[in-house]
Amino acid sequence: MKHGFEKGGQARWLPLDNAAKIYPPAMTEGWNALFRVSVTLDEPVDRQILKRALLRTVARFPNFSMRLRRGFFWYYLDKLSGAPEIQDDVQNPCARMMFRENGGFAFRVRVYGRRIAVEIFHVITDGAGGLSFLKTLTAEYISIKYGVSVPREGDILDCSVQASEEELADGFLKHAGPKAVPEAPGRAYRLYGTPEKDFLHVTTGILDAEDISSRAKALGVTVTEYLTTVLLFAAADWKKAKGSVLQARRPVKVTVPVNLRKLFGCRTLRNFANYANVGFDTRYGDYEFEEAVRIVHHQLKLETDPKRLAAKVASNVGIEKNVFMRLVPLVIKDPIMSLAYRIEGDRKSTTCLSNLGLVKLPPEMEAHVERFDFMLGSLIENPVASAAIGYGGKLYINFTRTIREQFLERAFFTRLVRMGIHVKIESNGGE
Amino acid sequence: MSYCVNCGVELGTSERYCPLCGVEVNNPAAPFDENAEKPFPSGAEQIRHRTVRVLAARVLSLLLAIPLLSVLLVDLVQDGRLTWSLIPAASIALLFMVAVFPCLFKKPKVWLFMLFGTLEAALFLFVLHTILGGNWLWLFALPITLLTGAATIGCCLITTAKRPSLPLKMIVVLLIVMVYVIVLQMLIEIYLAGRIRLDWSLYIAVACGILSIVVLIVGRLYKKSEAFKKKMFY
Repeated sequence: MKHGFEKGGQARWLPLDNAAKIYPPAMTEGWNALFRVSVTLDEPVDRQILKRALLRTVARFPNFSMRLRRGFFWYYLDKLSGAPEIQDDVQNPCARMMFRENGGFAFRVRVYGRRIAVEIFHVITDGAGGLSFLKTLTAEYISIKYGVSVPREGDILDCSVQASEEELADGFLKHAGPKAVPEAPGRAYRLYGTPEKDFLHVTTGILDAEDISSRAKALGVTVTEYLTTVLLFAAADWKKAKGSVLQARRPVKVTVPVNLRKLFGCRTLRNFANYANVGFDTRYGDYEFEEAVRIVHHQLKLETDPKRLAAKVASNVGIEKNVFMRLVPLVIKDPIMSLAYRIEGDRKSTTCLSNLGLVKLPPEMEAHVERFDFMLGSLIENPVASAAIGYGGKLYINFTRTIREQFLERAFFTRLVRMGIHVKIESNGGE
Repeated sequence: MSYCVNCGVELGTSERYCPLCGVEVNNPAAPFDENAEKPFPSGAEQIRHRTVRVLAARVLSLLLAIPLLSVLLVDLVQDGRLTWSLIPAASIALLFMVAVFPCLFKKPKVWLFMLFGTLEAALFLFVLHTILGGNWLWLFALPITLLTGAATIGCCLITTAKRPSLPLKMIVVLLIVMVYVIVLQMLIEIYLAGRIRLDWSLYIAVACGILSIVVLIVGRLYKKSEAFKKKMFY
């Protein structure tokens, strides 16, 4: 029996997983690493039913019913009972989460009309884990509200059984490769703008998923690769327009999170993702779209080679397992890790594109679900981030930014329009 | 269904302006509907920044109040009036103003802190002068304090200002340093020897002057980079 688990497999406390370890020290007075997944139903959300569904779902996802605490050497997750209060949604999503005001929980559930949104602090899980939670919550909600039995398959979990040790295990420790090969990617072109105080601008582009998919297929690439290329072009447009002398030599790069569950056959509910940094150097000249998409395709293939990822993970795990790192008290480790994250965190990329892929639901749920959304909260250094999710024949791309300039998303969506793709835009209406 | 004439994207019914370029939606067939369902509610969450500064100010005030009250009380009990205790009291008051006052500001306003620091130092010296007596305050300490304060505030204002270019800012700072050292030596000489004789301050002033000229030339060449490049072609 592993530490933190009592007889019967119930988790009393959990050490943070390898990827989560950096997020608590990196927190600041006005920022923590959040992301948000939401689902829009066909009817207004009934809060009483949602509360019941939430209690059942949280019991199935023990990593969600935990409070972040400080140990002497590391932060850890400590068991909590119940579920957080359901909140009204707000205009500025993913604002700094105050755990005390949220009953200690590191995630919050927000409702607006027909939409249920879950905002999650990254110490609990990653995007795929968050989506699994939201889908299970929605399945519970629908089965309580409409009295239908929703089949539990894939990442929609059965709430009548308990989480297994495997589901709560740290996938990084389990699947780290035999050799640790650290990677030191060079710096990337960075976006600067007029900072927006305490407000996250959200711009949503709605595209026809089939159209994008067929265009990507025609080029022999995936939708993620296709969208990443468009985003790289948008970043290159920004660079050209701003014409920075200091950053002239830096290539434009996009960070693409890679879900490691499929690659390593892991079922963990916690963080288990790594990142690929792809991009091109605009000093080589102006690329044609077909040229750039090939570059992105091959770079992503190289970066997501399972052996390479395992070595990268092993390197990260090596830092955590380092005797010096383990024996230094948290009081000292905290500021060092915070500084390291600020320096190294997201400076290796110009922006980020996280694609959760196409959401598939059983017909019992499909009848009541209209839309899914996925967005990233502000990143610590990069002012613009994007996230995509597909459902019901549509692809929803959310740009979130903490600066006033909407250049990047404009360049991204107008390029799509020029390529003959229909784009519908919505926003959270920040001035 | 409205489209942005500038970006070519379809806009949600709740959008009055294109979120990508800010152009107003102008579609006579489907004018903007104030009551259309918005993707997000209108109330933004206010982020409550933890008031560490205010807490720090309170704790510091309490910590400083203890020695202040103690010395005043001991002096009163001993002499029946306030005498020597005014010196530590003035020192504590100075420390309070220097340490606590900046805590009350969200954003550091350096020039303001410097202005207050100068006035506080002057006041502190005045209190010392009242207790100790002598002619050192009016002829020596106060002018030097005010001069130093004025020079630092001047440097601070010019460096944080938006308008002048970097070379111009550097030149102004160098000029301030020039004037400062010359006046400083004049004040010292008048107080100590009763006459004005400049030596060391002139060396600094000349160095500052030469540096200003270098900055001026480099700044001009940088501005006319075309000519500079031509001249320096190799």
